[in-house]
Amino acid sequence: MTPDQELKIVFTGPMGAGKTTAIRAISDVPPVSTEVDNSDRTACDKESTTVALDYGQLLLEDGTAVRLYGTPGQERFGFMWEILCSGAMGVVLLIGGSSSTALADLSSYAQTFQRLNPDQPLVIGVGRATCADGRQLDAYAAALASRGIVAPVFDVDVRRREDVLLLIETLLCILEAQVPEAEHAAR
Amino acid sequence: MVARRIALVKPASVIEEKITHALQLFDSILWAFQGTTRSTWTLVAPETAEVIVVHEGDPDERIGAWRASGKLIVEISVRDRASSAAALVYPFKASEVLALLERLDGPLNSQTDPQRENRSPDSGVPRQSQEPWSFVETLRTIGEVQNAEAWLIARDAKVPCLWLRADGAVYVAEQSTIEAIRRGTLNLASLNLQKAVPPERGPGPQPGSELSWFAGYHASAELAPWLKPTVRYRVNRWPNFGLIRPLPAHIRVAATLTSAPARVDEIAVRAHVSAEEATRTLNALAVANVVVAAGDEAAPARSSGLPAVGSRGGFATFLSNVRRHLGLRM
Repeated sequence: MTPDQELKIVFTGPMGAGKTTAIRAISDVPPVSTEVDNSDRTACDKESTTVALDYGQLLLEDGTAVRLYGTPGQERFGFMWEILCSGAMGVVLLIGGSSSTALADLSSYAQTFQRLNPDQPLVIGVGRATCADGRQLDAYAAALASRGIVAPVFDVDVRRREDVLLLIETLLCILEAQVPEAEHAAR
Repeated sequence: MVARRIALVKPASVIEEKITHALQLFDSILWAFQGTTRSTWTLVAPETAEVIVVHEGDPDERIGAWRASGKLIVEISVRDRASSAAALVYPFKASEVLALLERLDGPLNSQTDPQRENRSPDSGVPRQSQEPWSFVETLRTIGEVQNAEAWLIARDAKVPCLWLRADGAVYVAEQSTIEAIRRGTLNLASLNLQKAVPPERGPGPQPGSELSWFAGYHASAELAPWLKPTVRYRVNRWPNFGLIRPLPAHIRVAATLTSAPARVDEIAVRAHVSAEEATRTLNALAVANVVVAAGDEAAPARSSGLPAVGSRGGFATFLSNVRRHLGLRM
């Protein structure tokens, strides 16, 4: 790794999906957030929202830093998504399961990030809904399949660290499956 | 509702395990669809049956005699190239069996059987066998029924241990039972499932996907009867691991089969799991209905567009470091 390269995981999704919360759940440092009062309570009823990005990091024992970026949720900041996702290990897309636009959000974001880098691992977490059987996710998987995207879609509660870790573990496994066998021999 | 009598006849010498699976599947479908077909089908001995299900090619001399006496003979095949006489080819869908049963109503109605209308069906529900896939077959069957109004109760040595909604979407059990299901220490194949009233109180509902995942995973160390070791499979959608809460090896296998189609022996190598782990996880993925045979499809093109971490000991080492740092199981 050269000094100008960075290892990063990007958390993205619409406003209120839990990006800041997810980063806070696993970051070694208190996340740096650029939050301001939410002036768009129609789109999302939360007090504050991220306007630039969230930043956290994992500092590994060997000194390697894995940076965790949260994209701003508003689409008008969409130009930043490409910048943040460039060279990222993978993207964690968070969708609010109770949102009336959840399915449209999923399609829009997944398509955008697949277009930016079709080989970049994409893992999707849908905010846990009240229904116990999880069958509402069938529609999400079908929406992805109709666009030729095979990506994990999980029910999660990003307030729970173990749920965020499941998303990260899945992303690591997808990365691992793409690593040439020669690399594995070093394990 | 008209009472019908049907018999399943296993060949005297079973040369293929699939034959047993096929008859068990038919049995499970009959049981799960009770009350949903036009007629009421009850399992009886061949001598009193109107319809007898046999394996194609069964040399049993009684079959000819049964046919001659006017009984309807349904042949099941377990071969890819079934004979034209076979009504069903294993693995068959519940909908195929239902359609067959409805078709049989026609010739049966035309038969003269004055005793039939006065005969009441047996009240007993067919018992589940100890065959390792019997519980899984039942789950697959009720998944097709989609009856969210009814509930089933599973008893372990006559003691109720779990309630299953009849569409398979949710189940209810004590935490200790849930843990036993996850660990594989509860022999699901030995459970006797019967229709029941919904549980009135107790623990909250658990996702049925968790039950079917671990039922499939723990059913057998051999490949499921409908999978083949020579076929490459790929994941066409991911299971909802947020509800299933899988083991790390399960995620690795799913990721491997998303990256490229693989045979079960290839899965073990690529996902760095044991042959048994690869087999069991492929079984679970199949029960979750998220793998398909790759056939002639090309593996999805993958580039190596991964961040460079060569100077730090390679990407695999880096991933291990991340896992260790986050406290993820290796």
